Formats: sequence, structure tokens, C-alpha cells
Amino acid sequence: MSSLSIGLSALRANQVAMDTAGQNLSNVSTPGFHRRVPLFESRGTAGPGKFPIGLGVGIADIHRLRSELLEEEITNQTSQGADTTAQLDTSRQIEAFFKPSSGSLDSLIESFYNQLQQVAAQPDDPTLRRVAIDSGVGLANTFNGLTGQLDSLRQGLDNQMSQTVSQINTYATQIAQLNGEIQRAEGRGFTDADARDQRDQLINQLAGLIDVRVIPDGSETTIISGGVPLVIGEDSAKLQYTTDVNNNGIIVSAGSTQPLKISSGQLAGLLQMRNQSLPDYRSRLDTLANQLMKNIDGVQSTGLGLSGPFPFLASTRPVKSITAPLAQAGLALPPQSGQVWVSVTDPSGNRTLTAVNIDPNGMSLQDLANAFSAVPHLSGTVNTQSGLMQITAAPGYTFDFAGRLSTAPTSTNFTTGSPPTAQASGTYTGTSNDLYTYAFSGGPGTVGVTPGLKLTVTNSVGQTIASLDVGQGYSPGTDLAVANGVSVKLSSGDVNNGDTFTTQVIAQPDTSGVLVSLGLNTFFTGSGAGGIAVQPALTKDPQLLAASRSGAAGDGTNLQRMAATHDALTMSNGTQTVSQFYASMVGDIGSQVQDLNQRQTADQSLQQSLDAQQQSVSGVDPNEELLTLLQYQRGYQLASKYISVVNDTMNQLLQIIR
Amino acid sequence: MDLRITPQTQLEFSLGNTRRQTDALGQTEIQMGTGLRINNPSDDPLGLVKVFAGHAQDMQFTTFQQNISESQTILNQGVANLNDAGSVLTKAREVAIEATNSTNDAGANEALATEVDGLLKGMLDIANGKINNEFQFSGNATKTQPYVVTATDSLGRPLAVAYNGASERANIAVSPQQNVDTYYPGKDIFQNIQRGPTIYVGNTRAAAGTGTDSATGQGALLVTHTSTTYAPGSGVTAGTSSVTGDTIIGPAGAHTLTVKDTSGTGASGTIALDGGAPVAFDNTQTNLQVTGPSGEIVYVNTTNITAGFNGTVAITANGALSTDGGASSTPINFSSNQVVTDSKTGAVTNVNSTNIRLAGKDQLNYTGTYDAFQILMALRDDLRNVNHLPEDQRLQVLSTRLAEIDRVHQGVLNTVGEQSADLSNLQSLSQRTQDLQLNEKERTSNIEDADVSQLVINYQTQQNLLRLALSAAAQISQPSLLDFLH
Repeated sequence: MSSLSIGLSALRANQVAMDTAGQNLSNVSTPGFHRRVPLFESRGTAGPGKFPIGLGVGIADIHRLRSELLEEEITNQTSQGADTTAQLDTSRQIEAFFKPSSGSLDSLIESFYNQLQQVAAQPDDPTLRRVAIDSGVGLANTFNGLTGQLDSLRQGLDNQMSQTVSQINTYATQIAQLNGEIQRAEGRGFTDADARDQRDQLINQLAGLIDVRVIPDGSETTIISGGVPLVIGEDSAKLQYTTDVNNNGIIVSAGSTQPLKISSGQLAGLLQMRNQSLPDYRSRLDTLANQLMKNIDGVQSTGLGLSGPFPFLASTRPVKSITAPLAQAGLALPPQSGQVWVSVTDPSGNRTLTAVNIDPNGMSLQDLANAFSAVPHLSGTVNTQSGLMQITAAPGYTFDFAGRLSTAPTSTNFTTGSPPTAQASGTYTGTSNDLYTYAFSGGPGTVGVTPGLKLTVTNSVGQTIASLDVGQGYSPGTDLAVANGVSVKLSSGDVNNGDTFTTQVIAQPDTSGVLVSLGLNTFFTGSGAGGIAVQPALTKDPQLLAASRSGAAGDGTNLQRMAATHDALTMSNGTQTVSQFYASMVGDIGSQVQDLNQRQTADQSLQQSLDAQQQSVSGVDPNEELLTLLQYQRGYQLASKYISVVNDTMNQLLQIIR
Repeated sequence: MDLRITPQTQLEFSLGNTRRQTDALGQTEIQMGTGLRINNPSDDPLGLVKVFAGHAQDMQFTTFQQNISESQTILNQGVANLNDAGSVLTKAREVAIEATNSTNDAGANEALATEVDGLLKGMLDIANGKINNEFQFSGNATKTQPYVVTATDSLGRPLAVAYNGASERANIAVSPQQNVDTYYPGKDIFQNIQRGPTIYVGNTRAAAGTGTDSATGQGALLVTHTSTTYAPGSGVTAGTSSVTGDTIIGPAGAHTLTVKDTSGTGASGTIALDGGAPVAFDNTQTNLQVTGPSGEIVYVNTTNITAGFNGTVAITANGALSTDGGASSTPINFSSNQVVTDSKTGAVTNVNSTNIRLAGKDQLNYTGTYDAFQILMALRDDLRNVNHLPEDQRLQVLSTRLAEIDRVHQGVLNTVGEQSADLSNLQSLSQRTQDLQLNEKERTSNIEDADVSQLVINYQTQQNLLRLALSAAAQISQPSLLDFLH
């Protein structure tokens, strides 16, 4: 009597099929759910006689509709997309720091320079001086603030990555567990579709965090992440987030120090930002701040404030070792080979210029202090503890680095009994340091008396730069313009042909940059974008702002020089100004965000299309399910009818027997 | 095979579309809210770089515009002050012309002198004028009062005015390439040296040497007698008052003494100087005053006259020159050029001392060097005749004053001209800066600012698209098999 059992098998099979449709319908919105289809098969061969009619119908398997290739593509794409998104999110935060506004760094740099230009126009206006210095303070604070924001963003990334890694470890553990469950379940001979769905879902989530290579191995799955096996069978590895000696963030397997090469996923994006983009912007800010300080400080340190030369001056940028050569003494703005000209003024106002040679590779701070001590009436001392140097002038003496002309000639060679006194004056406007030699001819004679008496001025390379009549027609004691802003005057006196004197003229009082390196009378102190600050002495006393090199109250030429560094091509190997450097940095951030944004859009549309394809294979369409449900219902009804027919037939047969 | 479209797919498509439209709408709203097209660097990285540069330019133009107007204020004030100075000098010129009218009596001259005192005071006020609390004519030493009265007479009237300011001009940057001078040194404005020959007025017969002087204005050459020696033979020697009392100066033989021993024993006789009226002497006189034909005086000691001497004795009378009132002196060597230095100022005067024959005080007139104060003081002193010059000499000196006043006035006008030219340049520079700034603003605005009309249209379009997306979404699961199953 296989007829009844055939009917029964059809009832059962359709029941199962209806359940499957029900399961599909109820999971219409479940993420990771794959549509299932019951596979009907005709059962067995048994039958009466020689005809194998079969034993009805059965469900061979409930098939999970899943495209292996597509799913793998989706996993990869998820990983890529997460990488881009992580980078984009962080870049957007960086971008927000540099958003142009009235208080952003670009406008502060501009307004600082404009304030300087305004003080240059009214150099002895105390309010304008105060405003300019405050504007410098605001600039320094903004530099510090940006550095702080970038640093705390980096800390945020560190935290985020630690959490991500622990999430990865959790996923890995869960996948390993599922591997075990599936292995055990499927050992009993059927597909554990739900567990597989769960595992696939977990793998996709894992792929969002880290690169994932899935190697199916029967019921189990091996997962390779960052080049190492993360899950093998029921075992999972533990990952750790830590930093290496260079303060780069790295991911290691627990117990190892070898950093993993994470190629995609959120972690890859975060590492990229943490180890490359952030340090890059951070170091560009430092470069910017350092060059800005170099530009401003170089001018400030070689100028004169309203209070004139100093009786005492202390350095403000410390060295790490007072005995190490300056180039290796840990200075952020190390000096180069050159000279610094110090001008010492005696109590009666006579000035003498002396050069101090700077050899950064052979000279320590202590040596430099000794070199200053060798200058008459100066003494240099070094504080071992603080790494700072003090220069003190003898009582009544003062000194400065403005490179003003000496009041007496640098050297004289007169051969008469009553020679004239020569004095050079004015502000040298040339571009390089020079030694002017003045020689008399047309004599012997008396200045202002002898007709044809001449004074010929030559520079250090022997070019004649001026020829002056100092004989009859010259009023002794009146200034004669030589060249480049320098004048000379002679008192009455006798000279012979070939009598000479020389004067040193200074365009760059500090060719070595050592004043900036050590922070002697500089505008800023500290180093880098994080350390930049306005010299405390300057905030206390705006008079110290070096408006001039002459010391005159109405002279703003040094500030003009300072303001002109705005247009100096000092950045990127002499191709950009400070402002341009900043602008291109912000431009780069913008481009990065723009680029990542476009990548994300592309990723999303690819993802969407992959999802659509995946849905096309594995998605549940309620209409479809309803139709199959109808089909199964009909099948069920048919089976019922069949059973009833068989039953009726049986009844009639039994009645015959009765 | 066509894609199977499930409600999930439809939902995702529709969600994606709605999200995109909302995003675009949000962007447009931000742009409408801020009025800016670039709100984040990523909105247009290249544009932003240009915007930064544009803002920098704009700010710089504003600063230079401020500097220009600052310079204009200073220069306008300068020109106004200098025009006042010009009026003072014009007034002084009128006074000088009136003073040369010899019919003036002392009272009238005094009235004029008083007027000049007032002019002098006015001139000082102008030269020490301030703007923005800065001295206008002190060069770049704007906190230093340029002109200080260093000596006054008993009535407090200035006798000497010194320039304490700087010798360099202050300047202001008015464009990246251009600076304009603002504060000029007063010594360049109020002096305008065009040195001429130095005029000696007096009786010493000192004359200008060949060298070039450096003293300015009016001065005095003090020729003092230091010693007198007589050629041997006559027995005449210098009297006890000789050093201070002799007024003759000259090399040996320039002055002569004619001695006649009428007694034949040296006991008595006559002595005459330079052939003047003979004076009787006897051998008791140690300090006999002998006056020559031009009023020159020697004191002689006649106690040892050689018996029977009858003849001429060559006199050597040494002297010294001083231009600082005797504070320092230079021995006369009767040469064509002697350099005499004022120990207070270091200024030199070249004196031809060859023909100096008398001690005394010569008034020195360093023509072409008077500054505004020196000329006013000199004019005033001439009016009061403080140097007690004879009337003809006084008038002669007065007549030179006119040229000096004109020269000083010319100097002031030169500066006015220079500053006016600068002012007119500044005017056009200001205009040009404004134009450039406008251009820059416009260029930056084109990059940075949102195109409002475009925005409004975009906004409308995006809203419509969003509506479309939303109503499409609302229709997603409308037709369903369920509708047809009963």
C-alpha cells in the first residue's frame, strides 16, 4: 500500500515547501538572509511487480540561493568602502580644523602682516604696537590650537583603532564558534543555512573592519587578515593595537611585534590617516611655523626697539647641550656658517661694530658665549641648567645687532700731523655686507681748502662707488652722500695722497641666523607649530618691537622689512611664500576630501549595484513567494485529494469484502 | 538575464536616491545660508587657494589704503604748516624792505624788531609743529623736538636756535614697491644752504680765505693781540699794557714806530706809530700809549731808548683768531688761508690773515647759509643794531638779508613742491589702489561667492527631484499580488 504513503510524502513535502516560503516571507527584511528553495525529488524505486513507480516525493535539500563569486566581491567591496569611509571621516575632521573663516590661520597670518605694515607707518604709536603684538599672540595661539586639535584627533584615532581591534577579535571568535557549530550540524548531513547566513554576515562585518580573504574549507572557513590567519576552523587569533618606536600605530598578533599589513577595511583607513596624513599635516604646520618665525625673528633680532640698544640680553631658545656644536645642540632652527655683527655703544654714544664668527659645526653655546666675551665691554655667560646664554654689557655700555655704522672709521691710515676726523653716517641700504675704503688724492692738502682734493670710495671688490670733492668748495663737517644711503663727513685737517680710512657697512647683521636659533631679541620663541609663542618680554613691553635699525622714533623701515617677508619666497625651496604654503596645504586637504568623497560615491554605487545583483540572486520577493506558496498549497490540496481518492477507493473495496 | 528586483532592491535604490537628493539640497541650503560657494576646502580646493590669495591681497590693499591716507594727512598738514612758514618769511621780507628805508628812526626800527620777534616765535611754533603727537619736521626722530632755543637774552628773546632732529626722513610704505617720505628733517627745509663767499664787516682787514667755510649764519671773528716785539736797536720795548692794550697786528714791518731821541741821551723825545702824530716820551715811562693814524694803539716802554736813536723801528705784532668768542684761538700766521675752528660746533672758517693789521671784532656773514631762525634773528639784531655798526655798514648788511630770506623761502617752497607732488601722486595711487582692490574683490567673489540666481534655480530643481524620489518611494510596494488574492 504505497499509495497512501505517496500521498503522505506529497503532503509532507509541500508542507515543508510552504514552511520554506513562510520562512522566506518572514525574513524579507533580514540582513544577510539568503532566499531558500526546497528541492523536490521523486523518491525511491519500490513498486509492485517489475514497475518501479516510486515512493512519492521528498525534499532533497533546502537550497540557499547564494552566488559565491558575488558574495566574495561584496566582501571585498565592503572592505574597500570601509577603508575609504574611515579616511573620509577623518579627513573631514581635519578639513573642519582648516575651514576658512575670520579666525582661521590664513586670515590671522594676513592680518598679522598687515598690522606690522600699519605699525611701520606709525612706528611709535603704542596702541598699534600692542595690536600688532597681540595679533602675533593670536597667530601663535592658533598654531598651538591646530596642533592640539591634530594631536587629539590622533589620540581619538588611537582609541578608535583599539576598539576596532577588539571588535575584530570578537568577530573572529564568533566566526570560529560558528565554524564549529556548522561543522557539527552539517556532520549530521544537512545544510545549516541559518548558521551559514550568520557566518557570512559576520564575515562581511569583519571585512568592514579589516581586509579579509575567505578560504572555504568544507563546512569551515579559514580567514586570512593582514597577511596572517585570523580564523582557522574553531581557532581564532587575537590582534592588538600598539605604537612602534617611531610613534606609528601598528596592528600585531598577540605575542608578536611584527606589524600586520592591513590592506583594506576601516583599520587600513584609520592607519593611513594616523600614520601618514596626520603626521604630514602636522609636520607641514611645523615647517610653516618655523619658517614664519625665521622670517619675522630674523628681522626683529637685527633691529632696534624704541628703547634702543640693550644693557643685557638673554637667549630664549635653549640648547640641549652647552658643549655640543650648535648644529647638534637640539636647536629647531639651527644656525649656519656666517657672522653676527654686534654693535657696542659706549657711555658717550660712540659705537663700535665687531664681527663674531659662527661655525655651527665647531662652536658650542659655551664657545659662542666666550666669543661674545672677547668683544670689548661685553661678557657672555651660559646657564648649564637651562641651556640659555646671557650677554651683559659693562656698566654704561649697551649693545645691539642692528648693524648700524660705527661712529668712527673701522681703520684709518693718516700720515699727517693734523689729520681730519672722518665719520660715516646714514643707514646702509645695500643688499650685502661690505667694506668701503676711502682714499685721498689730489693732495697733499687741507680738507675744504686745497683745490682738487678728492676722496675716492671703493668697495671690497675694488669697484669705485663714489668720488667726492673734499677740497675747496667742501664745507668741512657736511655730509657727502657716498652710495646706498651711506654718507661721510670730514672735519678740517691735512691729508697726504694715499691716506685712507675704511668703514664696514652692514646689510645683514646676522648671516648665520644664530640670533634666531637662540631666540635673542626675537619676536617669537619656542619652535614648531605646537611651541610657537610670542616672546614674553615683547608682550610685556611693546617698545621692544624693533621698528627700525636707526633707533629713531619715526623710523619704521625695519618693520617694513619685516612686513616684506610676507612676499618672500622662503618655503618649498624658494617657490612659495608662507601664505601660499598654507593655502596649498589647505588645498591639499580639500583635494584629499574631495578625492575620497568621489571614491566613496563610486564605492557606494558599486556596492549598490553589487547589492542589487546579490538581491537578485538571494533576495526575497514576496510576490514570488506568494506564487510559490500558492503552488505548494495547490500541491498540498492535490495530495489531500489524492489521499481522499485512495481512501474512497479503499472504502469501496472494503465494502465489497464486507 | 534581467535582474530580479526585490522590494529590498527597490527600497535601497529609493533610499539611495532620496539620500542623494537630500544631500544636494543640503549643500544648496548651506550655500544659500552663507552666500558662499566654498564653505569647506573640499568644495573647491583649487578655488580656495585663489580665494586665500585674493583675501590676502584685499587685506593688503586695505592696509596700503590706510597708509596712503595716513601719509596724506601728514603731508597735507606739512604743506599747510610750510605755507604758514612761507607767510612768516614774506612778512619778514616786508620788514627787511621797510628797514632799509634809512629814514626810520630808532623807535620805528624797534617796532619792526618787535614784529620780527613775533615772526621768530611764530616760525619756531611752526617748525616745532606736531601731528598725531609726532614732530612734523624732525626727520625720523619724531619724538624729538627739532628746534630748541639754546640761548636767550635777558628779556628771554632767542639768541640761538639749534636743530636736534634727525637727518633722515621717515617714510611710509604705500604700495608693495613704493614708499613715500612723510616726516622731513627741518634742517633740510628751513636752511637750504647755497654757500656764497663769506663777508667780513669790520676793521681788522681780515678777509675770506681760499678754503670753504662750514659755519653758518652770522658769526664774529675775534682778532686778539697777543704780543708785540720791536726790532732791536732803538731800545723800545713793549709797555706793561701791551698784551691787552695793543691793537696792532702785523708781521715785522707792517707797523712801524718812528722814534726821535730829541735829548740825545735817550731821556726824552717823540714816538710816532705808523707815521702818525708823534707823542712825547721820557725815560720814566713804562707804559706809554701811542696811537697811530687809524686809531691803532701800542703801549711802549721808553725807559731804555738808545741814546741818540733816531729812526724807524719795525714792529712785529702777533695775534690770534677766534670764532667762538675766545673760547679757543688760532695764532695768526699772516697766510692766505688759516682754518679757524669753532670749538663749540666744530664749524670752520677760513681766514685770509695776510693783511690783518688791527685787533678787533669782525662780523662774519656766511652768505647763503642762514636758516630761517638765524635770518630772523639777524634781521632783528640789525634793526636794533646790537653790533653797533656804523649806519652805512648796517644798511649794507641789512640789504644782504633780503637775499637770505628769499633763499630760505625758496627752500621752504621746494619742500612744499616736493610734498605737493607726493600728495598728488598719492591721490592717484589711492584711486588706483581702490580700483585694484575692487578688481580683486570681484575676482575673489567670482570664485568664492555663490551665484544666487543659479542657486535658487538649483534649489527648485533639487526640491522637485526630491519630491519625485519621495513619491516614487511611496509607490514602491503599492502593487502587490496580495491585492489580487482573495
